[in-house]
Amino acid sequence: MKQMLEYVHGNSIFHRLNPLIKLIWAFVTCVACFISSSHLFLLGVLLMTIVIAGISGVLGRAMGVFKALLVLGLFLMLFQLLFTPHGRVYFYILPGVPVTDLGLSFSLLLMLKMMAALSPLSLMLMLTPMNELLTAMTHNLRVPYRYAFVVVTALRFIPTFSQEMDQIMQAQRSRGHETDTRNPFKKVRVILPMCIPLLISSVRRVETMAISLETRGFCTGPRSCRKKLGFTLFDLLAIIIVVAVLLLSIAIG
Amino acid sequence: MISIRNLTYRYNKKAPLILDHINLEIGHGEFVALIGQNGAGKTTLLKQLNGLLRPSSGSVTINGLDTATTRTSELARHIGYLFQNPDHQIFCNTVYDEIRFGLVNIKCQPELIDERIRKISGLLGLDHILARNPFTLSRGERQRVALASVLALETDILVLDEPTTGQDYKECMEIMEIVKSLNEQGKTIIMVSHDMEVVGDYCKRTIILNNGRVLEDDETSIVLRKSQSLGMSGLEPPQIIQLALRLGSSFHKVNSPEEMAKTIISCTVSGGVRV
Repeated sequence: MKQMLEYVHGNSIFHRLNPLIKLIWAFVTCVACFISSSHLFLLGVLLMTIVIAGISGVLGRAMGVFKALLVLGLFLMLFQLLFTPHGRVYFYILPGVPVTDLGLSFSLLLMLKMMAALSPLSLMLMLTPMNELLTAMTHNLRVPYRYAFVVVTALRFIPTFSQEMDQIMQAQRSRGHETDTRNPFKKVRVILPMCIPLLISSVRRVETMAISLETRGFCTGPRSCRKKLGFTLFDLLAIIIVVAVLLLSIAIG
Repeated sequence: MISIRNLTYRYNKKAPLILDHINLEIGHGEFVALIGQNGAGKTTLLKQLNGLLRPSSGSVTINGLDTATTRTSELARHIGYLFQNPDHQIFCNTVYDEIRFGLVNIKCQPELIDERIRKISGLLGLDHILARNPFTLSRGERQRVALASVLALETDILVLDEPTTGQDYKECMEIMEIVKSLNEQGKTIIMVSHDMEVVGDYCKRTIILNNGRVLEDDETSIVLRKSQSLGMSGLEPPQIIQLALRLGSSFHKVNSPEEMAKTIISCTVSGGVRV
């Protein structure tokens, strides 16, 4: 989780893109993937994301994200496969539960949609520093600072919470709780109650942070920003490609 | 009992060494303090003891069990571990259930569970709040609930990562007296602390970790006199030892106020002054 959302320092052309363009790219690609019903288009989007990751020098980190999304996608695919009985039957997984051509095609589409829609979001966060994202939201999109701060802080705290969850699981394992079981179903069952201490510590952390912000005069006056985010020719080119991808998805979809 | 051989550890292949060729033998019934500055590798070393972290190379064995191949939930029968932050450990709705949780996990006989909970809660002064929700307690009380839930397991080895955090002086002394009595009953205690007064008063053996290496490992009274090694770790000897060091060689065995008083009197008498 930490790897999926953390900024990776770099100076590639995609690192230097205006954060607003990257935000629009991630959002539009996500929408385009949900509109499209073409396997080829979704594969194309995935390939494009991999190429961008490669050019930006974050391919190793991105592959970790793809692997995690693939595991999630395979679970999704399996469940979808079991609940689509229509079409030509290939074989039966269980008595009365067939695997059909339509089921295979639809479940594969769902998996590709999930992977193609989420990977650009993760890549955008890897290529954009949080403070630039905040500036783009407040100065370009005119989102009130208070709300933009909430979004950025939520993203920033995910790795912290992930670390906290790890500590909680370690603490329970030390008391003989089998969070280290190899059985995935048992693991889900034993891990769920662990969310309580995470929730409690999150609420405590938020309370402390809110007080800390108040004492330092949060949102008491107009804000300025030190770094002005300009647009270059490449930003223009990028936005044209993004719009083309959206139109293509509508045309195919 | 605890055998650490040539242990090295790094978080991933590219990361720097956190533990660098550590060799330690800790016998049954020892009371060991692990000290050093933040980032020296103290907690990382403690987590190696119950398999929360596995060696990159070398080995750690606890009562003959190799931590590299034994699951932490199995090692929990031999080694109790108290975390720095009690909120990582607490998640039940009542203090009673919180203490009971570990006992159920290690499959303690049902008829013994209630008895053990009453015993440990009495010992730690928690008997009047057994029905309370632990999240509504103060930080000091939560720390004691976390400690109670570890002590209830009655393991041979206790690993305590800063057990007196968040306690006032009186509570700190109460907790340390309980730990001391457990040690006297034969339990092995390994404790991380930044409080040199507590280390000087209670621990028999002290290990200084510095940049992942063992810098000093000896009797506490000897280690706490090594000002240079302590200084390298950003630590200072307890005040009584600082005073003894300044007073000269006649005071080299002084480790407590009582010993200080006795030595002063004997020096004064031998100097011809009537007391």
